[in-house]
Amino acid sequence: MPTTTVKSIGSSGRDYSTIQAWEDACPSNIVTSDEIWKGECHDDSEFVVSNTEILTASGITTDDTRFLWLTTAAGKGFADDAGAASWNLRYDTSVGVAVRTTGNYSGGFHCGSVRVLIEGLQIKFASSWGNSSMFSGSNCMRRCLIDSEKGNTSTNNGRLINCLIVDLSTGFHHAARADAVLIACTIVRPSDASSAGTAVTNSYSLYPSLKSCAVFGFATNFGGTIASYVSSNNNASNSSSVPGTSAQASLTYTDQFENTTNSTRDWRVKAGSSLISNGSRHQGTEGTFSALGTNDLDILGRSRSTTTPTIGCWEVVGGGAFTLTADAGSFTLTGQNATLTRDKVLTADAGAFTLAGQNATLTWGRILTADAGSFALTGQDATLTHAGAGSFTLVADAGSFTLTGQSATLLKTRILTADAGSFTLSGQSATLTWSGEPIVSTPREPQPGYDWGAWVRKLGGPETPYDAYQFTNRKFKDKGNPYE
Amino acid sequence: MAEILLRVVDKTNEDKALDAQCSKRGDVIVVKPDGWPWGREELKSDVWRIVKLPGVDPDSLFDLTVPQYADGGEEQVVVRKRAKTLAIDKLDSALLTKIDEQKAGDSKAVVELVSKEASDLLAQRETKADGVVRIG
Repeated sequence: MPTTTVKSIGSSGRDYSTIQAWEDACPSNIVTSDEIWKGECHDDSEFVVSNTEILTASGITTDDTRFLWLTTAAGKGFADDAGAASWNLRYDTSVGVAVRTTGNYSGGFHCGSVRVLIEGLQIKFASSWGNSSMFSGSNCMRRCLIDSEKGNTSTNNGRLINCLIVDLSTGFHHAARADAVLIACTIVRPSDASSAGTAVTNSYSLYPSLKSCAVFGFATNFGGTIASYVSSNNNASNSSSVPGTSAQASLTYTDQFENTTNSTRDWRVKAGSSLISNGSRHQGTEGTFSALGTNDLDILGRSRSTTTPTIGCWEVVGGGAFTLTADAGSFTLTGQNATLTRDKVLTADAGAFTLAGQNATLTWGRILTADAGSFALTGQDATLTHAGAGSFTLVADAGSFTLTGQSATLLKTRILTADAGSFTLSGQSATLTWSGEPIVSTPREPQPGYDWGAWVRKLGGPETPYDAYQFTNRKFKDKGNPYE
Repeated sequence: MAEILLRVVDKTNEDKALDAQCSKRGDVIVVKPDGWPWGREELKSDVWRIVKLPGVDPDSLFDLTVPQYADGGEEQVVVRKRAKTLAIDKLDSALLTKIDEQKAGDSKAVVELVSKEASDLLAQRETKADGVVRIG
């Protein structure tokens, strides 16, 4: 098991300030030393490379398990934020580590025979002239966002997995050619850009392998002879001819992505897109650096469907339905209020619906409505609890308030009180029915002194002897103490 | 003013072809403008020097960071890490010592030159021998 040697790269007190210095510091034989040389980039500032290459990797002995690994530090990549799935998918220095070329003759990644894994970076090629080859050689680029504004963008025989490549250049350019391997990549030219470019093409008899890739918007999406892309499948394009089996051809570009125009670009897959569920899973060993062949995670590192993934770098999780979940325990909403937009329906599965933990508060002014007709509370009693100081008032609108169906029962020991002052019942008479303790009366007028064995009866019932004394003409007393 | 990361100790590989691709003494690894926030490992390195070059435009030095590629082929194959070098061993002994000597502390790799010294150093800019690299 190789040892992973981790070095930090950035402009704020890191181990190295540039990617090239990190490479130059790597031991010349990491197979012998049995290590992975890992550089973790920090977003202290945008990495700007002027008039040179971002990375020239050379002179280092590597293999498929002992290699250079250039990635982002934990929490520093564009995919690392919890809200990343809701951001526009495009180059944005504010959301994570970003590397940009500038100047006249800047290049990308030249790795030759050195195994280099480049993962999770945002890369923009913006130099004025020259070759902006993003990589070549035996390396692998995984879950990267590549934005090429100028120059020639190409990969010859490397491997790209779950990458986004946006090409705005106007010269000779292409995203991939020769025997490159592209798996689950999105390769696009904005829909309002001038018609130009070739997305992928051959070099003589060598053709790239395209698997589950979305290719849109170029003057020529697929160069060479379509039938010669023999190791291709499940690709999609606006072109009428798409390489490989199970292809999605002649798609409407703007129906596939959230926004395809340059200034507002957002390459997340749109609901209803034909890219959804038409991709394929790959665990392949195509090309070099074969240990890294899986496309099971999308560009944000989210798990893909292993049976029907989305074509391209972005996975539409759950096939269009989204689930909002909270961990067991507390659920905290801080900062801004969460809004459930009107006309959207919050539903619960049939069966039990449990609110546990904290009390739910219905804010004043919000309305809890039920469909016209019946409104049923089943199972447990609903309780209106009086908590804390003060009084709470349950009111009905002015006008009539009707209780229909069954009689309303005020249970024993509950007290119906009215405020001090007047208490008015209007409209129909209210009847208070007594069905509990006996009401007493006498069969004759009370006599002075006391009498034994007066008769009492319940209202509406037979008279029965009551073991008590009548005292004077006022009330009954318990027989044990008739004089009190 | 420019600052460069200059290799002063050869990097080697037992494989001859790979050895030729390693950075060598006198190769410029990085060119940066004045005030660049160098990293910890760069500042205290035994194999590099951070050389400060007063009065030198960084844009005039970028040819020193270009690799040497093999001719022909679809892919640009690197045969040497740098096509040009600074032949520092041809410097006068005082300037060579100033570059080679290590100071103490966490910034022991930093070398500050005066303008005359910077000019003398850059005068040793050389293109390496032809692109043929013997591998056996």
